[in-house]
Amino acid sequence: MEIINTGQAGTVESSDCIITVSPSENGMEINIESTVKLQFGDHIRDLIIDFFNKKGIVNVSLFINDRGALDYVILSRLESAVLQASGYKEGL
Amino acid sequence: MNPWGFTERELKNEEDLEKLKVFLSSFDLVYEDSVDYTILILDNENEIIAAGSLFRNILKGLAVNQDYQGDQLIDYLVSHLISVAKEKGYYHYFIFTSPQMAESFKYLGFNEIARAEQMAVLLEYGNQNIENYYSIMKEKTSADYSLEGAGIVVNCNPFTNGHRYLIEYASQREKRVHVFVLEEDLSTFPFETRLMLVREGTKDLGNVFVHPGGSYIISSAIFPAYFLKTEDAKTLAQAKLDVKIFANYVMRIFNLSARYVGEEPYCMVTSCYNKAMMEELLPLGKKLIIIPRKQISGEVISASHVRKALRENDFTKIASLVPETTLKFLKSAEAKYIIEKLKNKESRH
Repeated sequence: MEIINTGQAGTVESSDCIITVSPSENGMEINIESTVKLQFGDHIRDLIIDFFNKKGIVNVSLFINDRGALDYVILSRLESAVLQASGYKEGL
Repeated sequence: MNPWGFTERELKNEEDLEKLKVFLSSFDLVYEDSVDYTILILDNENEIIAAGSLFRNILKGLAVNQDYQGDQLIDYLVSHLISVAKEKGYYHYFIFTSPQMAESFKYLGFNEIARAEQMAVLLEYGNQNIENYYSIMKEKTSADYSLEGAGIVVNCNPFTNGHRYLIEYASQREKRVHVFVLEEDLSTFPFETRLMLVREGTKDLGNVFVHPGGSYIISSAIFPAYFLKTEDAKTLAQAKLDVKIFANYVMRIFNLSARYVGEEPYCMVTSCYNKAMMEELLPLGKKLIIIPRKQISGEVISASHVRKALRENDFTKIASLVPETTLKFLKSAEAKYIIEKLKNKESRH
């Protein structure tokens, strides 16, 4: 899978997160803002890297603004943003 | 649909507008006419309990009634406005608000860029930030940054001998001159054309670097009055915000110690802007150098004169006002539609 444009999903509401992914030329650039960054910043990063690895995404720039979202919320927002960014339109 | 079951709808009539203005005034916010979209949240008695507006990627007029502030309505409103802006292709957002309201947005992940005391605060959020934006621009430009340089901000609608004179004047006195061309596309000449004409017209000046201004220099996010052409207290606040951003980010990142500007005898908004520069730059130890405008047969050269001559098809006059590079463009087929557009409207910038 390849990131060819910008995709974004989520909200800034409590227990949610908003994720923006866009193309990159230098591998993975991951920028995390989180209300629980101190406790879970590394965990969120691992979650995202693991997701990209599984999808075979190498070049991507990601920005997540997390308001205390649980893992599966983060993953579904991530999936949605990535689908938009890879040019997938149907069903979104 | 919101989770509280409140009525939620777009602003639709004069009555709504009057109510909204009253509502916003209690948060030190002013309703501005440059708005694409406004959402209202109403209680059972049809009174506004929360509201927010959008102009392109700029969120403004966001407020929630005190009695409902624990309900996370502000999170909801911001999310809603972001999703509306996103549908239009924006992934980077500004919030223009009052100092009173600014804190609640920081909590949502927005970062403060600048504030004009007691008046206005600008925050941003998204896949770009001001520090990165100008740092990347700086890295891409191979200049010797160890020596202090100077900055100039221009609109160049289009590039004239007057602009050329100002830039050349600075380039002879400074080690390095960075020219920033306003990116906002509200002028007659589109941004790409204005940028190209400045680049072409200053090519021979080895120490001059021409850059796009980005969304942070005299943009409609920061300085709507410049484009609305209004002249009031708000104009000065916005002008100050703009000058602060230029000084605190652009001048710092590019190592610039002076800003050169042309004297402004005609335009009230621009002369108000020059006043803001004087008040903001000097305390920061930056120089402001105001150059009298270049004249030709007793009249200052102004881009508005070029536009006037274009409307009148007076190419003899134009040839006396603009450099060869601009003249060549104005005579090209590419310029035809711009000139047509010009003939159909009257505007100051």
